[in-house]
Amino acid sequence: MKKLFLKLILCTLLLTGLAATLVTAAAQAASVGANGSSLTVSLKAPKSTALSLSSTFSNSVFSNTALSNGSYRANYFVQETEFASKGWIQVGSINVSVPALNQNATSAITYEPTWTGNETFKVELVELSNGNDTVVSSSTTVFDVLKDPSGFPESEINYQRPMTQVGKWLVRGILTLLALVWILMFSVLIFVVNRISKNGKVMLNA
Amino acid sequence: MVVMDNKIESDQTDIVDSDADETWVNDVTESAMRSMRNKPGKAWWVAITLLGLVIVAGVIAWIYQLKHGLASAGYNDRAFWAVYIADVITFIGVSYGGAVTSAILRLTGQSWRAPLTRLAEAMALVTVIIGGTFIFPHLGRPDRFLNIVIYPNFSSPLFWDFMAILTYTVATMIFFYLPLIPDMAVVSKMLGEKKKLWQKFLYSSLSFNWLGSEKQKKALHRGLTIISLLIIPLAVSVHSVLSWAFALTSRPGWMETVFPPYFVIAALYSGTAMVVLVVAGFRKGYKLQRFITDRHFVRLGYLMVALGLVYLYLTFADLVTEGYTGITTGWIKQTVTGSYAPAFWFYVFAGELLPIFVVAFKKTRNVTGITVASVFVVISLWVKRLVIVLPAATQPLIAGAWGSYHFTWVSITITLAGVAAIPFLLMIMFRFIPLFSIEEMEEAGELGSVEQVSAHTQVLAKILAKYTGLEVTAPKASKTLTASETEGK
Repeated sequence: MKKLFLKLILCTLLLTGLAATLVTAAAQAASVGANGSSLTVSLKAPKSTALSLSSTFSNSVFSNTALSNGSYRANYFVQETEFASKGWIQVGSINVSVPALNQNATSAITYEPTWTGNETFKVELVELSNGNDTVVSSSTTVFDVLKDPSGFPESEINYQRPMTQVGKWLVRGILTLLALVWILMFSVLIFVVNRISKNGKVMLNA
Repeated sequence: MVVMDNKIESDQTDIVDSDADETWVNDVTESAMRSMRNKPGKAWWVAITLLGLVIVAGVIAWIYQLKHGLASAGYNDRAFWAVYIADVITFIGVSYGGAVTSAILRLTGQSWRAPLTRLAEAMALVTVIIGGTFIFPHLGRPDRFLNIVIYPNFSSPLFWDFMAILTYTVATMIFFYLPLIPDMAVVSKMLGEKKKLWQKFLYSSLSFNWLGSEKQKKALHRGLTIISLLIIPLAVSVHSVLSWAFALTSRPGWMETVFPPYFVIAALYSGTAMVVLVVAGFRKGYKLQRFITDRHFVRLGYLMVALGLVYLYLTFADLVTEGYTGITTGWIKQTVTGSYAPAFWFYVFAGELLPIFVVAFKKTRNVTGITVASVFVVISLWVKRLVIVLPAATQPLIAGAWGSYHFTWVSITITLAGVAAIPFLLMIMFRFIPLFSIEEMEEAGELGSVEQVSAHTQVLAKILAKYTGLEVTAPKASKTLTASETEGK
């Protein structure tokens, strides 16, 4: 009974391990593009004002494939979420040479965030061909921009994105004030018109 | 004035050269309604046709821009904000100037304001509508305007801009309408039973049985006082929020703490100049020299120059604060000595120094001088807005060359259409409403405005001369006394 129990645990562990391996392999396979390229994005220098968006290309994959021709470019994007709609805005691009791709190269651009908080970045490796650029691979990452771009002391850093902390109450306060202004305006109009109309009627009847 | 009789209705003769027996009330009423009663002359039709053509050309240019994109108006990725936002600020600015000038004069009980307030308030209403309309060509794609309502972004100054302009526009409409109530009643009485349906609605319905009783006057006065008090902070908020659309961006030349008062004063300055121009135009066009005198222009001229000096000081404060640190001086170099220098120095000489000299010297301190100075103030303040927008918008933030903006026929035509729309709408508007508030003019007469007091002094001088033989020099009256007034006194 004890042996059977141990066998079961062993089988479960083996199956779990197998499943984990398969999932990892599948994930790796999914991240490998059509040309067999693999692209990862890592973001460095979180404490500096400028953000270094650095992309590392896998040497092993590129060296195994024939990437001797063509030219490549890494395009960098930041996700904007204004007006409740999401969209990618290109913040820069860099041409990547084939030898660099074959030598586990790193390409990087600097980007100066305009506010702190979560920012989603994307990098796309594009194979450039005449009139038909194809995205070979892409990678997305969320980066927490800690440094206030205006140079606010790091110890006092909170999210400096406009109106995220006090905004809720400030917005409500301003909207209430605005509503009061509208109510006052129309009250005055109605009061004046009503008073004039009533008094005029009384005088005419008299 | 109690509107119970149709005394004025019988007077259908040409009243430009008034008869000797006219009373002050009849004079005021006739002059106020000159734009409505007299059939428009040839000059009116020529002007309205030409202005209409410019507006049509503007609409065609906008359609062209919709089809070909903002590039057709000279915009590019390095000049993303340019002429249209300068137009928005300029038009809403002059509106603010008109409304606040009228509100302040009303609140401080300046009786000399009476012949000016209607023109100032009408100008405020017309220009805020035109200024608001310029947001559409500025947006490029007008359908995106709906996003501000559907997806309001409370952290964006643009949303608050929209709210502030909307609130201010409604307040301007009420501010314009309330003093019209007594005049609507006068017009309604004059038209009698012959009124057409639209006239019945416009004049009878909107006058709400106005008879000029004390209670009605009190209610109107109270309402106007509240709206006058309200419109000043509202107008300040509009221009402050408008300035934050620039100042809250991380862009040297725009991210300035001085911007809200800077914009507010510029609006008041250009607005006062525009009031002068509108008043001068209607004064000449409808021969209102008897009521709108040199004194009105001189006072507006003083006000204009005082505001101009404050604005000059703020311009200096803005430049010296940024320039002294030397951190972000690219836009200052561009403004003062670079490619925008001719525009900047045009503003300094034509928009600041010229009005000061015109008002300083007695020889030029007259209707013509102040009107010419006002033309330069309005134009140079528009140029100044361009100087605020363009150098900061076109400077590179990371690396690379400066961007540049070039006017195209599209942007010029659309801007000119906006300019033409001001006199066009005002000329049409005053075909339906009196040129100045009859009620306020009468009150001013009863209170004894400067012109009236001066006229009375002349009468006294004449009586003294008749009975004592003494020559007494009285101040020259701007209001020409009628025979009945002279005899009566």
